[in-house]
Amino acid sequence: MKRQELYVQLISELANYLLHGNPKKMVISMHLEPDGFHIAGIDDRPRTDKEIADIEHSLMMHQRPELASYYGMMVGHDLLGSSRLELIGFQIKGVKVERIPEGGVMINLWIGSEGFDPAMFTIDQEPQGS
Amino acid sequence: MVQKTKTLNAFVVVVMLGLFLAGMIEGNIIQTFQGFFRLQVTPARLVSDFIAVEGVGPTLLNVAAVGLLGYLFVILNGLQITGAEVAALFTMMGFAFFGKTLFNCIPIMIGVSLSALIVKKKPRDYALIAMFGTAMGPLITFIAFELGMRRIFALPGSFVIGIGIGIVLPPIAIAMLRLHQGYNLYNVGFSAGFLGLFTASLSHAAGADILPLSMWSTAREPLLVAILPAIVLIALLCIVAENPRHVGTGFGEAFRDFRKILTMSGRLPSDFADYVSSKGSLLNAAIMGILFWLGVVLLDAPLNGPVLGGLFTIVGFSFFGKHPKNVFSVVLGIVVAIIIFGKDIYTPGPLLAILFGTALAPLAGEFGPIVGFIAGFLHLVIVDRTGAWHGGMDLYNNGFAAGLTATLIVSIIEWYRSAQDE
Repeated sequence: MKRQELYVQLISELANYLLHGNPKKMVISMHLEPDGFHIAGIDDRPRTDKEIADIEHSLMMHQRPELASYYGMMVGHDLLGSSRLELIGFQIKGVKVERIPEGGVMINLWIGSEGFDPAMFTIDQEPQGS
Repeated sequence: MVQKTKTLNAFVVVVMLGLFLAGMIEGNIIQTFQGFFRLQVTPARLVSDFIAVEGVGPTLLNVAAVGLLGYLFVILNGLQITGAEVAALFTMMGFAFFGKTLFNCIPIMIGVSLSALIVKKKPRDYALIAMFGTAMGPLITFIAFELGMRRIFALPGSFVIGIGIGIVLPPIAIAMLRLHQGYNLYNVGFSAGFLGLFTASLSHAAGADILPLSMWSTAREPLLVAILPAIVLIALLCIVAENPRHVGTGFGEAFRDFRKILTMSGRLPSDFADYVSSKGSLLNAAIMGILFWLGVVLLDAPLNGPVLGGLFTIVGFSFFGKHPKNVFSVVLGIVVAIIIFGKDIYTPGPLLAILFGTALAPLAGEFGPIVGFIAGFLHLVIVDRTGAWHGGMDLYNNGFAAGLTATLIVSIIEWYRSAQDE
């Protein structure tokens, strides 16, 4: 898959998830890093601890190459029905979900190459999803 | 290896070993092996009940051998046994009762692995497609042993064509996935049916029409009746084995996780073992297996190769998308269609539709029981015709029909929802 296509698909799925919560504000940013890229999604919808734990659980699926290369092709593409963060979870190397002062959440995703090196990313701690 | 992977690994290995031993004790070992080798050259397209062809022992040996092939493929690719792998292995074993053999599976698995290398991926990336893709096995057997070519050309020719089929399967499977958006659990069946349309048409153009077969045993061998309950028992013992000192707590946790599974839609890829727990998914598989087995027994329907294949597939996909709540309305829709259209429930088409039509379970899981019912109803109508389209070359004919049904329903729902949003 072309890298540009992957950016679009991951951003679409993340946006789909955040929009399902009907936020008044949503911001998605992406920046390139030495070994991949970092996507951050922010909204203003307050979430319970359980909802945040569920987001983390979905995104922290361990690396499943057999699912990522096959079913992962649906990410950001087939959007009928519930949004599926798990599809993102198969493909990312690091994740951090945190509340923001405005009341919503910030979902950070780090996507890197096969030989992912967290030290090359702006991750302030050991990536939870690796 | 984490605990859940260990448990599922043990579950699969014990089931395969049990099938092998059952095959060995069923009759004379030499005759069993002779029958097993004859199965490799037997026409394999739908519906070729291997029990009707060679009997119980050789068929069980074939099931264990195909299961072992899939298991080694998973291990050699460095993958862990989780819900998706259990579904693929049980599907391979289930269809080894009526179509899959070592001979016709291997070229496709090699082809899919080559396909991964062609696009600079690793074979493990397409491992699931390779395992499910063995649905096209009958085409290889057909070319090798039925076309009437000289063996010296037919055998390598069938192998090369099998590899070719394997190479083109991944792009088709990925494209088909997008048509129904993950609402047909047997996506490779849909893809193989699509491919089968072309192969059957090519064969027709060349003057060699491929006609479906009808080998269907009606006897009820006690050993075959006992297989499913034995698998259910193994699943329950695996739950116990996770925490043998606290059996009650183990089952309590399994039941709690089973209830969590019931809240999931089952849309691809819903790996219950990964998302929830191995205990919960084992209990789900045990409940699903015994419910459908009871249905078949109470109906007094034959417990032959294809029916056992259906039951195996249900057990496998109970780790990967199916649970009692999302299959109920689909099965109800199929049964109502059988009654309305006056079909005979004991004939292969309707009976297998009840078992394999559960591929549409995610539609009920996501959009509710009415959609599930409609899907089941439409599925029965279309599955009656699709087998002839590909000449029985796609063993997952119900997956093909379910893909068409799911695509129709998803298109309508998508159109309706987008119109509402405006």
